[in-house]
Amino acid sequence: MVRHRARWAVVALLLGAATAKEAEATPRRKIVDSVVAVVDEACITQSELSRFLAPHEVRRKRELASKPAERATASAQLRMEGVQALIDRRLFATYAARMGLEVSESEIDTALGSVAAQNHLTVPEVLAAAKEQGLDAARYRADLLVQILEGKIIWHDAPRRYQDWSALSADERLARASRGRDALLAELREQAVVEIRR
Amino acid sequence: MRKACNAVLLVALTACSTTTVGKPLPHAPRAVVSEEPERSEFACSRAITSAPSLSAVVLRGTGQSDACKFLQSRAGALVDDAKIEADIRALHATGLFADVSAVLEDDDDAPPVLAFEVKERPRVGNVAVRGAPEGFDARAVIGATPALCDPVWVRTTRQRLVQKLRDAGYRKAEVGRDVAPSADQVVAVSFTIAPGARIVLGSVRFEGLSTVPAEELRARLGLTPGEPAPEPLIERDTLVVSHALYDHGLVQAEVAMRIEENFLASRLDVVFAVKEGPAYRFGEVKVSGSDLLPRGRYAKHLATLPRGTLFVRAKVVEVVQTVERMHHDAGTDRRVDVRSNLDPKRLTVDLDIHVE
Repeated sequence: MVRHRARWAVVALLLGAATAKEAEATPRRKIVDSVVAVVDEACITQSELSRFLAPHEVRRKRELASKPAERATASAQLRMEGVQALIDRRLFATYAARMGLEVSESEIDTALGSVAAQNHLTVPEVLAAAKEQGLDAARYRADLLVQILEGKIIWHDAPRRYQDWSALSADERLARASRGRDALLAELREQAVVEIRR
Repeated sequence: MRKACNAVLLVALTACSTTTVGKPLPHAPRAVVSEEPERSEFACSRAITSAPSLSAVVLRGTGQSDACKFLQSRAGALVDDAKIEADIRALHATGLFADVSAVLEDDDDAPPVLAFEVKERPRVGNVAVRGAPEGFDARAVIGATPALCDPVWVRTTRQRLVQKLRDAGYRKAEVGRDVAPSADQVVAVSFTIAPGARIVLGSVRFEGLSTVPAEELRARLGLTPGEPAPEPLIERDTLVVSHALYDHGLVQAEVAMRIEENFLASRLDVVFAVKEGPAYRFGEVKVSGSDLLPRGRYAKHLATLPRGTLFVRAKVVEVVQTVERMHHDAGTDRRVDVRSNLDPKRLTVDLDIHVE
């Protein structure tokens, strides 16, 4: 009996040694990038998602600084929302390309000027405020482009969607356009192959 | 003494690793040790760790070694996040892989390896179609079978089948799709068609017409009784009716189309409900823009749109095309736009033929 135990102990030791050696030989693995979602032929990468979420992460950390327990849940939620937002952007971009809708640099300049005027700021002050929120000038302009393009898409699509469009008042059009955005997005999601990976 | 020895060893190691990446130390190692030993934890070694050069770039999970040509990341170069992202996109864009990720593997003794781990798409073994109605060539719609199973291909093929069935009169057709493994890394794709009844056009009716004869409009339509009435053709014909009304001065006419389906009789009727509105006449017609040809050259063409006569859209289009042709022939290609101004009191349309 004692001999048996001793034998097992040796085997265990050898196994332990082998496992330890294996662990020693196994290199450290770090996933540096991956595909997090696919929209038809295009993919959304982890690094794209991280760039998109960076300013939101800054805000989230600030807001939940004293609530570490809520931070993990909020982070997972933010990630899901980020993936969905990037998918929707891709769907809108594809639709815009199909419809020949574009946004020029001067349109972004005009929008930037409007934001500044509405907030009684200069353009550099707006950009500085955006930077405080984690958005550098290039990213802020890219976000404006997305907003302008989305607006163009919605106003392009609404008359087709609502037959009485020409008879509607400006307020009614605004309300319909907002509903139309959701309806269009639902159609685009339905038409595309969308996969969320990890 | 022992401490001093360890410090020498540490600095020597740091220097070695620095040499391997080809960056000389800013100070000689001995000087660092003897005079400022605390610096041995600073500088080069950390910089090297955060941006190491790659010993190898490998592709894992595929026999498609050709895919290496899509990679920008190279052994011997530093880890570059932008290049890695571009590589992931490039590998994904080949359509060969269902999934791609980049993994950096390293241990203490060797420079890191960048591995692109891929999951190959399965091959398509067979494409089956079930339930296609007689006379409907589903195979022609599907086209060539792709070598690899791409979910986008499966979905767009299904959409194409639905569209073609509807164009052929199967307005309620539905197509199911299934992708099932049939062997290792091989799938069988099947499309199951539920065509429903074939519906053809019974008649086209017009409501609300008083100025324009229905037969004149009917002659311009592509819709034919007894034939299927695909949605795109119905939409096209709605535009055709609007344009035809414009040619009768009815520039504010509204056309609403509705479909009356009678599935029991397997037929549908298309109804164009028209609100004609008042008939407009030509008002002032002028040409504007910079770099115009001599005015007299436009005059005889503008004379085809005489003030006070019934507005006819087709005549305006003709003038625009003529002006564009005139500029082209004169070697000054220009875009010609029409700016119109309706006067609802006088019921006239002022036109500005604008040369840009």
